[in-house]
Amino acid sequence: MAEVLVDVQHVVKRYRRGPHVINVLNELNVQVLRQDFVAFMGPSGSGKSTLLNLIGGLDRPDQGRVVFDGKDITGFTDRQLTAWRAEYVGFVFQSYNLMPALSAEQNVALPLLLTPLGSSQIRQRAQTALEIVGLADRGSHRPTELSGGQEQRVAIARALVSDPQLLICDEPTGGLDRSTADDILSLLDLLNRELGKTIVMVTHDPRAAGFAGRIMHMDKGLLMESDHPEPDQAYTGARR
Amino acid sequence: MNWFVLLSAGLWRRPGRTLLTTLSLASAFLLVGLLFPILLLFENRGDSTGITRLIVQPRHSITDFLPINHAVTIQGVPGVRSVSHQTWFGGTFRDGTDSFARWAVPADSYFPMHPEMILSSAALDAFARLRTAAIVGQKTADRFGLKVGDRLTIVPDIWPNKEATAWEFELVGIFDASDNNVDLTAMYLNHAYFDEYRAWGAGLVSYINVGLESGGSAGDISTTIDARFANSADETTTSSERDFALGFAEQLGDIGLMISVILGAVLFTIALVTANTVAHGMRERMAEFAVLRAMGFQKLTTQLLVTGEALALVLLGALPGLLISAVLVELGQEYVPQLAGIDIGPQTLTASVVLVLVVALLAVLQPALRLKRLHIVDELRKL
Repeated sequence: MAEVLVDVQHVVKRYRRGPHVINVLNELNVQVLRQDFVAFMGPSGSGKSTLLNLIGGLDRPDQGRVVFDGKDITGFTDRQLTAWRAEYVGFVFQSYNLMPALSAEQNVALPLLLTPLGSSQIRQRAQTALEIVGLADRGSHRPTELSGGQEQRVAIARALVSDPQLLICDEPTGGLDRSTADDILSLLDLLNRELGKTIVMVTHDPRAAGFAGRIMHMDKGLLMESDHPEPDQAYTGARR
Repeated sequence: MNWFVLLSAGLWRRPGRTLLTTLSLASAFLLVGLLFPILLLFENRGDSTGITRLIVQPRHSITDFLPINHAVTIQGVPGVRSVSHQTWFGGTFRDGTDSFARWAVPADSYFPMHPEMILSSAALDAFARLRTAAIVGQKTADRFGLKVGDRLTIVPDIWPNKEATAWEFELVGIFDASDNNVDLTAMYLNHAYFDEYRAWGAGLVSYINVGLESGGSAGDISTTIDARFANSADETTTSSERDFALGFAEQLGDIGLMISVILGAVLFTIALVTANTVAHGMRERMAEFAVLRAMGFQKLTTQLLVTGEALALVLLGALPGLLISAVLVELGQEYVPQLAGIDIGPQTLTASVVLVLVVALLAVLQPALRLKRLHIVDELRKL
């Protein structure tokens, strides 16, 4: 049986909006296995992005615990949590969030500034990450000189470069056309299968979710159901 | 990829804005480089370190005169090595467009006391021997095309002569200088002739020059000299030559205070300009900082990054500004003798370094607080 990498236990998360308190997650329990590719789906406000932030250590639950590889990260100080993210988590955002003043290679190399690697090693690893995402020849290009799909590939390379165990993807194909989105999802699928990266993805798009090994549906802060995409699903290019 | 690249990318994210801010800072630091050394001169007044000469002037007004006999009394003050005097001659040379000082001085004591004036021994002899002798500085000689042997006619204003005619002098020498403190536009006339031939005021001089024994305390000697003439009809104020020049300048007002106010305004302005630029840059880049934080950059790291950017921005403006001011001060001294002694020394450089740090820190105060309070999820949600 596969080992649990992320264990979300009885998590409650509330937001205050003026005088109102909104319960976003209610006693949620989720497990993500090592080398899993999980897609969270659900309507807006269902709590999937909040859950993603908790799993990625960007936010803290009001109650409950998030355990990563046996360590309760909810008990970490801000400094510890930041260092933990640097070591174990890579983020892929919907809007890529590349630094416009840096080249693709420099963007990819950013997380490596936090490591003791020297300049030449940093460069080498950034180039390798760009090769993995198929953009080895675009290293010197600025984000404005790249297409949306290429920007997202650079963002994936940036998430990969420090070799984290967990990739957090928040609507990674939200701004892309179908064909480009499929390319990106295929790449994530490849990273999951070939490099063994555990991927947790949030998406509205059933087609995108079809690339995941497991799909979890959320609504009103609760996990409604969990299923595995069928091989005969109609999504072209989806995981088989 | 290294930290410098990241810092530089932030700094030049908006090249136009950074360039304009840099130019503003350069202008401000140019003013600092020009004004701060002058302020230091005024601030260091009264410092008698290294003073070898004093000037004794009438206590109440520079338009008063001192009796030449004061020189005899002053010569008796312990620590005084030599005494001379000089008297403002004034008058009009040629068409009146001249603007150089003319002084009547005794040949035997004035020049030995001012060895920084370079004058041939033949010229010195001629000045002492010829009662109508005059010498001029190299700049005035060049300006008016004067040469030794020329007749110089000066129409009097303060000092008419006994025949109520124009004064006639013979140019016997042209002097140069070994340092910037000498006014190379000045003209010196033989005091003996002037004193004998003037229509009034014989025996009166404008200032008495005092040469000090080495190791003598300029402060104590000044006090003693002024005490000797206290409660007399001709009280004195004694100061170093530098303080005398500053006092002259302060007839316009409290120069030190004026410069302080200007420097304060400059400081305030550059702090605001820099803070504004850094704050604008920060506002645009909060999401980028949220992404950096998500990647694992610590709060302190992002704060240091912004501080580094602000520091680099201020340095980019300060360095050229100070460099240009140093060149201007150097050039200015060649043409304006009153600027002699002003230089961008260690004190100005130290003050500039402190200024750079203070401005940079003031500029990053608000952005650093914003980074401290940055909530990653909230910032990412805005994207």
